[in-house]
Amino acid sequence: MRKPLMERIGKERLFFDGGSGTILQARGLKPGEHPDLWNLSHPEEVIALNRAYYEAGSHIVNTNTFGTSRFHFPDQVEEIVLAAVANAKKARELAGREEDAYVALDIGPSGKLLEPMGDLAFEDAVEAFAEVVRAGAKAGADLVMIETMNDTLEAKAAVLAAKENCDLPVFLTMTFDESGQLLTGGSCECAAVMMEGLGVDGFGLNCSLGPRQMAKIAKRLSEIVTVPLLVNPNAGLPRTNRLGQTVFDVGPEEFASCMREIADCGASALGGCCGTTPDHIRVLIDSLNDVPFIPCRNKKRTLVSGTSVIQEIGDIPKVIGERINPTGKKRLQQALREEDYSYILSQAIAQEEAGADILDVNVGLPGIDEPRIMRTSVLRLQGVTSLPLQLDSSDPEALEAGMRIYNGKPMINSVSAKEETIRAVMPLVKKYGGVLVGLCLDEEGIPETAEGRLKCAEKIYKAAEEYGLSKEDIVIDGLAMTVSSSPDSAKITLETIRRIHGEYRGNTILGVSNISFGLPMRERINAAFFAMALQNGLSAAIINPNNEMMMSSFRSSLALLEKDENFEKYIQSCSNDQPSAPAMKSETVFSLKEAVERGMKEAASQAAKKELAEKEPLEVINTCIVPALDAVGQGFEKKTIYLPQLLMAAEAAKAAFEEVKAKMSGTVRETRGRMILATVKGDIHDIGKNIVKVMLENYGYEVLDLGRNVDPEVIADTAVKEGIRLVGLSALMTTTVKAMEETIVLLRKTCPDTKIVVGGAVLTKEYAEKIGADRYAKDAMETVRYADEVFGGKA
Amino acid sequence: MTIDETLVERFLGFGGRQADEITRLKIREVSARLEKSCHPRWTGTRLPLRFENGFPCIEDRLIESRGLARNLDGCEEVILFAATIGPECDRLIQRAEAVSMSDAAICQAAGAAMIECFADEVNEQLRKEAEDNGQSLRPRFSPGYGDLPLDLQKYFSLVLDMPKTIGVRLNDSLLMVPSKSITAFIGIAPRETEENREIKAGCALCEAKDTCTYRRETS
Repeated sequence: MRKPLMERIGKERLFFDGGSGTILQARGLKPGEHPDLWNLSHPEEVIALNRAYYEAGSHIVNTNTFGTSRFHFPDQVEEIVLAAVANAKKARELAGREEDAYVALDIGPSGKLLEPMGDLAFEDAVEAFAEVVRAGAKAGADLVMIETMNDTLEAKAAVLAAKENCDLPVFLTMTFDESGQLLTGGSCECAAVMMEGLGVDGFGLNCSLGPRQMAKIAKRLSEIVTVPLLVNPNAGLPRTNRLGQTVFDVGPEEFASCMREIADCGASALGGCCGTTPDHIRVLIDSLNDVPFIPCRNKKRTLVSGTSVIQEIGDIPKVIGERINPTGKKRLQQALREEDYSYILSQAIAQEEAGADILDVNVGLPGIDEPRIMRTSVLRLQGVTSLPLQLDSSDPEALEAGMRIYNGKPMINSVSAKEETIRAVMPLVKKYGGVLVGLCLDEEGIPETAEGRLKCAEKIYKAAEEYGLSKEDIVIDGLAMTVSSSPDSAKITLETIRRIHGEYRGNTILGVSNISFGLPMRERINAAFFAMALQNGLSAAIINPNNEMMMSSFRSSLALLEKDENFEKYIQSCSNDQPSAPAMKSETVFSLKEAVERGMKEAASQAAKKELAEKEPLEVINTCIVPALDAVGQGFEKKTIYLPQLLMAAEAAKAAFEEVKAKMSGTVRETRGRMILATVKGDIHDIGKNIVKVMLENYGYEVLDLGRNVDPEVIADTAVKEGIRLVGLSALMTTTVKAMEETIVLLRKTCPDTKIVVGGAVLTKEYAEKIGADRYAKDAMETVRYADEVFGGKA
Repeated sequence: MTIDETLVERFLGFGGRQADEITRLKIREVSARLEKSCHPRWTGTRLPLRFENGFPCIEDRLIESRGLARNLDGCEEVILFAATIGPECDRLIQRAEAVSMSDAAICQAAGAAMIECFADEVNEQLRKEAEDNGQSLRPRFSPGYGDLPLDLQKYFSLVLDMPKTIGVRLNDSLLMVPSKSITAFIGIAPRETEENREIKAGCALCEAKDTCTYRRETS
């Protein structure tokens, strides 16, 4: 009777198979012919291939299904997979290995690019992989082997598809370059942390490199990976021979001797990829006979990851930026209601630059679609910051929406000792991975003693164990409560932190600033409390990293607690705080008009304040800002001023407008008209459109920015719904001008009176006329001028 | 590698003129950042070339483009070339867009200049190798340029296995991701063929040569 694979992997050394492409070619597969179809047309050849590996000693042999998906074979996925699994089983039987060898359902990359850069929606990717998984499970495969992945989000889609559609073990190997990076960005460690979180049963690397290059990366992974490590190199680096064919030069003996090093660093299962043969595997197995097996062990590390940054929660405390949370923040509330993501992104960037290690993301507001906004915020934020995020919501649905699309292993805020939250949140963390914040409160409320809070923590730890989460994935929040309403609350919180750290060897977190609620000069109390908490062993703090006093308390405490080697970070932060050289800070005071014309943001904002002290807001706009913008705009048209200067002036004007807005307490100036901007379907380059938007806004137009890769229907529907008189469309390539034309046709049908202006790299005046646009604008100023015509009644 | 800052200025639309002081400072800063954080990669393969009815034919694939035919005329081999500066530049552009569009525009131009410079650098190595073999190279000719169909991107991607070798992938509209990437044919001709040839390349060959803002002064 065959032992279940999970009883063996990680406890004894197992071997995979090797390459298949070159072997099938030697058996007659033509270049360009799809090997997967051979499962149906040449089953005997596929069986021979699989059998040779079983006979060579491989425990795990992959089905010939690397390219099988609905994208290549829309109607044949199940047929191919059923045949491929049957072929592998037959091969195992013929090789006499039914007692101890396994059939792996092989899944390769889809070959499609996922949104937002590509066209494939995440859920469509999951469904495409799921189709393969269901067929493989039905056919009786013993495990799912996802391999050669180089995009973590696509790998996540495949892992979720496997987990959601079968109970088989799931192995994943990814492809890295020699420096251990994915070609799509992100290190091997980042990928490992994320995939372990998702619950893969084995993780490792395959393809692209030979065993010599892989050894270094395998070593790095062995320090971080807790699940069994899998390593399948090519037979050396690929080389093109004189006939233009790709060949691999590392023979079986050399391959095996390099693999010893990889076995020594604790790889649980080894095999080969491109260029390796049954001989490579046979010699490999023989040569490792005398090498002792190193069983897998838990590395007991608390790790979270973003797209390319890992943070370890533990010995060195971490700062979690609290600014993306609408509680008490009017401007952010407005941004969330208007879905003004650029404001949210700017908050993230500012906190990262101020020294945050992780960013909290809370988008909860009454009346908004929190799951959808959470999902979009995560996608958008991960486009601009590589830091890990802490998904923060009391709505499990919003948490799941964020966790499902999150590219990395997030922090999750939060669970408590209440049964209800445990039941709602812990299964999500088990499924998607994450480090979970556990609040020390239960059905009875917040305990008033440290003892009571520790009981809650204990309950959370115990529940985590029941749900299959490790203790390392829990961070306990000791709960900072307002000291002004109960004077001993700071002491209770500190004791909780100290004892979780000391007695439970657990990690802790605090939302620090709650402590000072109701007191004057809150940051003084906050900074002192923060330092005390750090001394009591706090592992992470949710604070405002833009607050200098908090950050200096943090950095000083680390220096004092021997958590800042050579005072490096402390000294670095001090040198950043030195007043900068006076060269740029000239004594000259600029008028508002001059400041805008010269593109000086700070100066424009200062000058605007000064003007507003003396003049009415409207007068400031009409006598200073608008004339300056006009002068710059005309300069651009006459080619005495160029794009960067035009944009800098626009940004300076925007800063001045902000001051005017503040003075007018929110009443925005009258808009000159509302229009839509969109980059058409299929096109992902939208910088030109964004430049046009900045200019239009400065000239007083309200822009509904529909983003990039926008369906014609969405544009037409919005135009109708909002009664839009002018639509601006951009496209970069000849291939996407087609989508532009379709959009125009649709707009003409649904709202014949709406004017359409187009722009983009490949467009010309003639081309624009041909596809039926009203106007071609070669740059942002021409678009502004055309908007003036349309809304001024001239067009 | 270093980014040619005058090329960045040209991509920003300055024509032949020098940019103002503030823009130049920003260009320098952004270029330095890209040089530090981007990891350019390239791949290429050399294939035999023949002509059928006056059009170039590679591996049984007939490419009906007069522009490419002119560019490869007299060549016996061709290099399929692809290069990228990687995904980091796109992230930096997106990041700048959230804070300052002028920074974003400069970053976008610097990225475009960086991939050009990198391709030129590799091109120069390839030219030297060819020279050692008594051959010379034609200027790069990319899909989407002139009458060369953009559809050829799929062929490049397949032959060079671009997703795996350099991490460049295509969306359904044939846009490359990362965006700062290049594919091109580079013709290889015996040196004696070149001596009598009036080479028309780059801007001189382009239909937009009289109106284009980005046109090189000399080509």
